[in-house]
Amino acid sequence: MSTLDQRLIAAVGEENVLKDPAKISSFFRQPVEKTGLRALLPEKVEEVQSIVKLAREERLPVFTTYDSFFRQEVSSHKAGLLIDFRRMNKIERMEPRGMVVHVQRGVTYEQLTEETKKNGIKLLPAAAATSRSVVEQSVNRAVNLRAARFPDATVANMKVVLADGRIHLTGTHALSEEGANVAHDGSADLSRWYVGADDMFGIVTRATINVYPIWEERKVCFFGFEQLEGACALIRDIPRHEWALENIALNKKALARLAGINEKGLPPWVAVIGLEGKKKLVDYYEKQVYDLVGRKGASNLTSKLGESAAIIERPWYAIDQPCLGFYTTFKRIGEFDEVIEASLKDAGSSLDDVSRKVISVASGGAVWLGYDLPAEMCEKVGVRLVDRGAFFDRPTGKLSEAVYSKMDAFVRHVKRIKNMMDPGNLLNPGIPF
Amino acid sequence: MPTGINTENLAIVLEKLQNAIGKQWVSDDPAHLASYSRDFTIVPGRWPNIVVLPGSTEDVQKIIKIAAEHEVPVVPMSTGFNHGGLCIPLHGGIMVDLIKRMDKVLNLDEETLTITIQPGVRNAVTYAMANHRCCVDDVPMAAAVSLSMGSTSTLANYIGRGIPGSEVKYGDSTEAIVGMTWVLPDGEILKTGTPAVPNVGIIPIAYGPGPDIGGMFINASGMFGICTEITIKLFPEKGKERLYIFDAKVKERSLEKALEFLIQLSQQALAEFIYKSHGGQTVNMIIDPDNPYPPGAMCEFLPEDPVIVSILGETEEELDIKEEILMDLAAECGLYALDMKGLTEQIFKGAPNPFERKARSQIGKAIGSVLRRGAFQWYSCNVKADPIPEMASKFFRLVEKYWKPTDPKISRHATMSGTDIQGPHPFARNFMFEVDFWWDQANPEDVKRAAVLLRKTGELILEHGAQPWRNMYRHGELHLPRLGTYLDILKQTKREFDPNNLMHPDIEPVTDDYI
Amino acid sequence: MVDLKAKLGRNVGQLIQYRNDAWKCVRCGLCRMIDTADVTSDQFVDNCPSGIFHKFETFYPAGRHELIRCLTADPPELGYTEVLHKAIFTCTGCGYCQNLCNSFKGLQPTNSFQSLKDFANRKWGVRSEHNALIQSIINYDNPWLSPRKPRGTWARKVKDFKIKDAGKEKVEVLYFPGCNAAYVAEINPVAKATARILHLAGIDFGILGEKERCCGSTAFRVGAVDMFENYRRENIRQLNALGVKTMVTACAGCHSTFAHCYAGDLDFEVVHIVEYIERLIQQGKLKFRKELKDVRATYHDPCHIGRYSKIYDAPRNVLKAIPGVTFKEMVRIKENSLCCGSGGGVKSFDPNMALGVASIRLEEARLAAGANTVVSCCPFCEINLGHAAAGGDMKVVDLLQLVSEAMGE
Repeated sequence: MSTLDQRLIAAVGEENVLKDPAKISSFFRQPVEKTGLRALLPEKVEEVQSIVKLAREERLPVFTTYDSFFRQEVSSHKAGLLIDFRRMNKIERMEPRGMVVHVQRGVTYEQLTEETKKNGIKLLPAAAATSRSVVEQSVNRAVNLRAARFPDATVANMKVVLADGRIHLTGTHALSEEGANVAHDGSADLSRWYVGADDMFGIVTRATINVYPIWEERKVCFFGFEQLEGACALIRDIPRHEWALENIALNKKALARLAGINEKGLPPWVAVIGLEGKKKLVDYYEKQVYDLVGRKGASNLTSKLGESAAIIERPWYAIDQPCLGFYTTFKRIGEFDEVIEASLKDAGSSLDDVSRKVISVASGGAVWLGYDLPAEMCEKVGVRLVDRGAFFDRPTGKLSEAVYSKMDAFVRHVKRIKNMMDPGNLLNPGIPF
Repeated sequence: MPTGINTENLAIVLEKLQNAIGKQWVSDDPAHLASYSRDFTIVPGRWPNIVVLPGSTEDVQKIIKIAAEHEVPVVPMSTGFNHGGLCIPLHGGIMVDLIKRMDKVLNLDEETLTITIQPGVRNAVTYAMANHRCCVDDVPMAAAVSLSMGSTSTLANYIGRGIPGSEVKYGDSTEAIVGMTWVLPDGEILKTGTPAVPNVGIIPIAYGPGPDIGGMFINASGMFGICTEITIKLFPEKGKERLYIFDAKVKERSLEKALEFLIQLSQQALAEFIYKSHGGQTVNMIIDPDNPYPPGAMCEFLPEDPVIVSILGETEEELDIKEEILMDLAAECGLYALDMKGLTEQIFKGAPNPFERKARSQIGKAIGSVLRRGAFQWYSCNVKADPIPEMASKFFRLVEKYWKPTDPKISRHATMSGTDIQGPHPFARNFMFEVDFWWDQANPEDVKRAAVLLRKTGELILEHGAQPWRNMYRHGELHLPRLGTYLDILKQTKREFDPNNLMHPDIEPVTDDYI
Repeated sequence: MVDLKAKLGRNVGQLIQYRNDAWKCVRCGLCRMIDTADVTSDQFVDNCPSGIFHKFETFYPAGRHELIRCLTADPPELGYTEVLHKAIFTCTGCGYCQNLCNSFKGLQPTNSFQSLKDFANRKWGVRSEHNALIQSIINYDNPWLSPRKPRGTWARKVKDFKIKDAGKEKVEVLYFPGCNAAYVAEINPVAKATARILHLAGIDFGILGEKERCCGSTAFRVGAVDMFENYRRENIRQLNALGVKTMVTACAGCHSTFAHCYAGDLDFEVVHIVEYIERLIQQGKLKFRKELKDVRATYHDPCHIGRYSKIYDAPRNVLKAIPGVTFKEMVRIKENSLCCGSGGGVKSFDPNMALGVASIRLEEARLAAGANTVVSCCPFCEINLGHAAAGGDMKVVDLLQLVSEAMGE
């Protein structure tokens, strides 16, 4: 056994150091044959620290992922350490009165939801979650289903292991973990750069996640539209009145898939409007929604689809089925649909064959569009969309090249931070900065 | 430390700046230097060596490049109204007055609900411009305007973490920043957020692609560059409003009751604005100079812990429903709504509309009245609910010890010192706990006592694990050393981005040679 | 205890008494802009004329407060510089900052900046730009370098009726035209119009003619306080001896000076002609016989009858009563009115600023009110705005001229 392996075992325990290619392959989408990689399953932040310090001494790259699987190109590294957080699955503390939970990275949405329900609180489900980890969904800014009202990152404080093994408690936790749960740092808000960074500046091991009340009344309405424009008009306008929390449009394919129902008999588009709050207020807002819907000429499918209401109570995962997701404005949806349609046509397909999701964002000022496409198409189409001005907030692979090749000053700036925080480029090398 | 403050070097810098920006916008005349040297805080004034009025981002770039070339400090300033001595050039250098020539609204878009502004656009202008456009039907827009003067810079408030009055609903103002344009210490121009991505335009979310780099500029007090443009989110502002002031039915433990009410109300997410004030604050809002009662005496019969709540609606029906919920919650917490006709008419006399609505621009008026006695002390921190009553109690003991005159006839109330709870943060996750007192800036003894009480208050806050909300009164020396790794990273960042320590040197203790 | 009722132009004392005010200025910036509740856009927001033109903080009230603090320190923290002097003497005394700040903080910025001018004159001598007009007042009792005798010339040209000599005959009302109306050709019509209106209303009035002396406003506003005090004493003696019940003037500066700087020492009330006219219209004693053509008017509130004397509605009511006049407000009106830029001796001290600010005001009239005519009630405003309007399409007239024209024959 090599010294490295001995030290790794000393850090995390023998059963938590994996080097067999078959086991390593489980961390990638494609199988891995010969490999010098080690997969490590730490249980505590101290173990992560040990791993990082060791990596530093041995000049080994450390890889983490926010996408359930590691990037395939990582597998080509002759040596390196993969960190998997499934064992760091403690819900360290819940503060129902303070509307936050403090969870380790390995805690899944489902695991956490079981506990939050008991305390009258809930999480915001993500619309295209590439990981089951709540921390990973939040830190990577997965768009949530209530983005019309709560569009921004749901993470407050983080416990980050830096490239030199030190721990950085972000926000007010640097002063006291008891005093407050505010993302703001003591001076400049440096900690925000861990958000959306894929651990390139430091490894997030724990996060304080915002939770929301489970209110007195919950109603979910479904309205059918023949055209996307009609559904979009509804989910654009309702948030501007601040009546509903979820303002979503799904094509029938997406709805069928999410709800596990037959798409036959469904209209081409269905708007899903979620309301929650005090009963009197929910009833009032529901009435307003129906008035507006009446004016927009939609069909009321609420009673027909009522049992599908649960689709907005859980994340929509994009792990097995990739989802090409990006932001734009309502006015430009058609423009991007044309690009995607053209690309699909080249592949002998069309938009009608694709599961599509439209989520109203930021008071209806923008929209997130999600298209369930084959993995190889996601990247190809994505690059075309980038050229036209689609906003990918977490571009990866060729998409990131397409985005960042146009943002010299930004890239320079990020590289400076990277160089400062991880001069040895040990943390997730290969992410293009 | 910067080495460029010598006569010969400054003469060269002056000439270069005049050639670059225009002679009429650059000066080293002592009269100008004096007028930019001071604010109303306890921080002593210092003169800059040169004052410049840039007209564009490119002008700012030229200034910074010249300063960098000649190792002269640069200090940015907007209105100059702040609680931290933040615009005082501790080591002289170039004072950059950002608001006199860069005061345009560059873009206002009801489709994306955003507005793009320069530093000189003041809160009242931001509010008025947004409010004149509707995002849907008859629903106008509004910015999350900072709880500050209508006359102060919106941009400066946002990047300085100004607390918006609508915090409880939309979070703090930094979460409403969509994009910024910064001139870095090396003169590079950096854009953040979606406006930085070619062909994307403005998407109203608070981050750009990849790592969120915008945060390093927030509350950095000019350490990492100068912001010349900002795009912020606007929000729907329903047209009808009702305003309430709640007081405890039984005065005992009124603060605890108010706090519980704040928590319950915040978690219903139906109020636009919630603010627990105190008698002294309320008194100062009474702007009628003919009021016969001395301000201190009025505090005796005003609520100790009044809670001001504003709700909005599109219809009276909506407001009726919200009001019913509000009253039920208040009753559960042992509070009741004051008779608005009586007290609040007095309070808001002269304000054509209720506090924080169209009178959002009236905040300038209301808060202006607060400053009648001289300078305004306001020390604030992020904290959870539970420590607040104890912190308040300890603050009052500090007031008794360091502030209130020993004359037993003068009550603590008569000093008008008190505590507020601003925010709260959405769903009452955290609160902005604030302490207030006023001093006579013209009285050196008063200023000394104020300095002591400020220091003690800072210590009190930190002992409770509450983080000062921003750089207050240069108390970074008290605060930052307690933050361990964070301070190390901050210092590293300063070394990396401003190795010659030219951008507002010593505004925070972030260099190894800081004293 | 702060004096929350401090009035503009009254009891302006020694500079040292404003030192505490200077400390207390918190640089809130409210004084730089119109009332925040009245803001409608990013245009027409700023309201300090010297600040708008010169831009540096030094030319705004907060900057001047700091100058006061420095100059009253012991030892002084500032010495003479051209910029210092310029900052001091470009305050037009418009009163906007005091009007706003006094009700909040009890400060008296306008009065303190007036005192600052006096201080500067004593310390460094009267500015050469002001020397001429001060000497003119000493030599000729007017700032226009004109001999005394022509002061009554305008009255001799009134043929329809005889104007009484108040120095020789007892009259109920003294009409005080002031120096501008007497000596400035563009303003002569105001004097004639005023006299005509008083005559038509059957008022028993007279003038002092060449015996009339400057009210002293110019001297006061440029900081020649000692001279002003001399004038004040002489004028009080002369005017009280007339035994009139009322003094009417059409000059905003004279009105403000007599009403405030002489307050308590005059045995008669001081009224601006516009208030008289409003009353006459309401009583049906003044009728308009002619409809004016193509007058798209807006009203410029002069500082000295506006903020100083709170006369806002009377001129508007009169203007709206004139047939053929369409009226629309600008943005900066009434208490928010932007000074024309010429007051406080600025017209002679910094003519570029005076014209620059006037141009800004005319632009507001054009853009915000769609006006082709700016109407005012102050000869200084009309002179300065008129100079800025020269060669363009905008007309600048006194309200009296429109009234007179509409009255017909």
